[in-house]
Amino acid sequence: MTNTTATAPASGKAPRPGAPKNRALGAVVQNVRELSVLPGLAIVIVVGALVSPAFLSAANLTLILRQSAELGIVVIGLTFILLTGKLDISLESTVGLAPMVAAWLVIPAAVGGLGSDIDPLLAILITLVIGAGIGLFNGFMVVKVKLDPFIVTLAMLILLRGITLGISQGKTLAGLPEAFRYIGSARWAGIPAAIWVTAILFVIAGLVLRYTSWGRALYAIGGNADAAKAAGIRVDFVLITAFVAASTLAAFAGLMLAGRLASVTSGMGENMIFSALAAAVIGGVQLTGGQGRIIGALMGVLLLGTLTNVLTLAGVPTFWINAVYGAVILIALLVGRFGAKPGLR
Amino acid sequence: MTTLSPSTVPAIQIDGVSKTYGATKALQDVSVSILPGQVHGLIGRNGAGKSTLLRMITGLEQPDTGSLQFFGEPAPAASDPKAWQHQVACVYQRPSVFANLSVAENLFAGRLPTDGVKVSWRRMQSEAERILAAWNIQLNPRTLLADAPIEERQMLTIAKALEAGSRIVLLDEPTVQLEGAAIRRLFDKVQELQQSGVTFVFVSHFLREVTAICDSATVLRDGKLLWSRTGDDIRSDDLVEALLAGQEQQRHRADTKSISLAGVPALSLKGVGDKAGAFTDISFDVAPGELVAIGGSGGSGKYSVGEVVAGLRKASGGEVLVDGEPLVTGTVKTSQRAGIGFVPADRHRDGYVPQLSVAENMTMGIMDQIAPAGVFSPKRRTAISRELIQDVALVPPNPSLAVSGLSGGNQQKVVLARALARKPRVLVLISPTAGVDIAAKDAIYALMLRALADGVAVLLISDDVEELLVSSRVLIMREGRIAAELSEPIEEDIVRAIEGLE
Repeated sequence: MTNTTATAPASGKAPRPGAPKNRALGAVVQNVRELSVLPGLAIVIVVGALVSPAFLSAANLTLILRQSAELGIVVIGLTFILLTGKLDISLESTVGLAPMVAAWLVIPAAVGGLGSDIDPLLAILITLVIGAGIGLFNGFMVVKVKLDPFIVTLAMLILLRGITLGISQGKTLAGLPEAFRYIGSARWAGIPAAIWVTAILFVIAGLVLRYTSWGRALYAIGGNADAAKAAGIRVDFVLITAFVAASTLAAFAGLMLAGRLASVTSGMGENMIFSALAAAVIGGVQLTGGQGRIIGALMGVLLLGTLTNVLTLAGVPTFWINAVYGAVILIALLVGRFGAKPGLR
Repeated sequence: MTTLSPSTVPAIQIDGVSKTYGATKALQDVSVSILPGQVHGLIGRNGAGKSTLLRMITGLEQPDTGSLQFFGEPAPAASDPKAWQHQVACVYQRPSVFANLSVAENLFAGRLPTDGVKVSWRRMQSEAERILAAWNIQLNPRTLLADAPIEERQMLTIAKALEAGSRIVLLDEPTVQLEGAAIRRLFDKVQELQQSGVTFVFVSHFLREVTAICDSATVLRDGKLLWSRTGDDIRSDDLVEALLAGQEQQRHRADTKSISLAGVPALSLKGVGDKAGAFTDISFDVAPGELVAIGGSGGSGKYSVGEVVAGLRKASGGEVLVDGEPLVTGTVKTSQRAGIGFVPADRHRDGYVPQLSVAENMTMGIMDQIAPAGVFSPKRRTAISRELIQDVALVPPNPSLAVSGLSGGNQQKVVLARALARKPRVLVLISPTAGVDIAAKDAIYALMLRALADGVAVLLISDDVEELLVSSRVLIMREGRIAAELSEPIEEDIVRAIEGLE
């Protein structure tokens, strides 16, 4: 029982000055589930280095991180929800819809927008509010109306995609204002701002899950919602806020994506939820709730990001990329399933 | 060798069975013989080897040495589960059934009647009706099992086993989830079947149940056979002594008569009803340091009274007062802040989050105190939980262990620690010792008595008459109302009041 996830927080934090290395090593060794991603990641990296000398260049590694940033942010939100044992597959449509609405508001009518001439900063705020609103609606439907999360968010996925398509009329909205594009295109200290922001969000999410009562409540609810309720946890509130947080993060990811592409397309975020789910599960987040850590989810994201990059560099024919991608996800899941100690499940 | 008449060939013959797991000797040279048509009690504290023995009788486990015979024939090979099932059926605490399927499908699960290729729903329906009628089980074959009462489900499991041909039924603590009346119905049925030659092995923590229904019994201690007897030799005192391993039997009786009732009651219900209708017009006071128990049969609404006070249910009408202050019911957090500590009826369902640590489970209800701004220090949480672990004498005393790895008694201690964590003014305990062994039971009562001595008011709600006897003041509920208030009751008083006999 020494490998329970519960032991990790106690030994993982604040190493004693006496034996800092041993403590840190102990904490790493205890994270067996998360570590099970590493062999896969290592293999992909080795293959990448063999396939193309460009793979290990700083520019390419930065590119991998930059291209994984949006997925990473969606995965953070999705992890919150998965930990409670719920699901939100409409996150990817929020990635598309939130920036689309905001862009539509600010872009001149001549290029397909409404040209309402609002402050771009206000448009950014609107993007996030739309995200939060979608999360609130999903959370309400799941928690209060007690509909199945898969079905509700499937319906929302279709609905929101449809709205995005309707607003844009299938066109790409370009000519975004500078402020709108900033976070997705700026560089801080030579590294894309999106990477910084994503890294910071991962750190914050890790701290929230470990050191806040809200974060621990997610685990308690996913482990046994009835017991959580009897213990005085406001289960409904925590669940709804998890949905709100996830959708707000998805809207933010959409904003970053729009900044990177310098435009908003109606298909933005399409199929992203599958990668997000794969990343979270590869990283040890359990769909049944109550188990998993953000570090694992991050590993999952990095594995998928690196894999995509390597497949492209290796010149895998475009039509075959998805098949290879799927096969590697399957292998990663198998490694995670049989590489982890059974007690951790 | 003389030829034995069929009735003297044991239904189950266990000869010198031993089993070792690693360094643990789970069973050492145990021999038991059970005649057909007997109800045989299997008794022992947790870890005595009961479950290992049960697993051997059901073929889930093979003995290292020794042998098993059913009706004079060697037990089937381990590789032949069908043959085992034909001999022996096991009914667990939680009936192993498919709640999402109909009663009829449950009866025929694994052997659905077919017309050559397709499942014959019509034949299944008529067969199920016949079986249900023969067993006097009041269920419609089309009912979803999820909607059937738990004791009917257990009867169904037994019926299914016997219909499939087993003549031996193992009952593994079948009464834990049942209320008084349902237990009696189950016992009646068991005795009826016994007459027709079915053999039962009955595992229970409740000695009264064993003496009530068993005509022979085996006591295991530390993997060894203490004794195996038949008839009147299994008297209750003897059983208790056997279980206590030579210790004096501790009688718990909280003597709270002398508590002053003059001041403001710690808990006071004035004409309170349940919003969902489980009870109406309930009034009683509990003084600081006083113990009040509530008994009653299933459906009497007794649990709901505790759940309203704890905030899991909403009251309608009347007033709940804690230390004289009105309590807004329906939110656990509000009740907790008002000073209510709560141990729910079913610890598996409402008590703990299995994969989280002891520390986390114990402090789950006081996160608002540990983390007023939402951020907490795990170091502080561990420190608090260490104190609680000491208070409840948790074994092993490890705050970072997952609760799923603890024994039932220690899981319950975690739940109790959670209730005590906020230093409550009032403790609401629902069946706090259900399904725990005698040692854990003693420990839980000792904690309750200590809380009482510290001036905590305790409301103890239970199905177990022995447990109600711990209190010198017992309220009896029937059909959602308080039907009797007993002072210093004896067992018979309580049983009569619950059943409504004057």
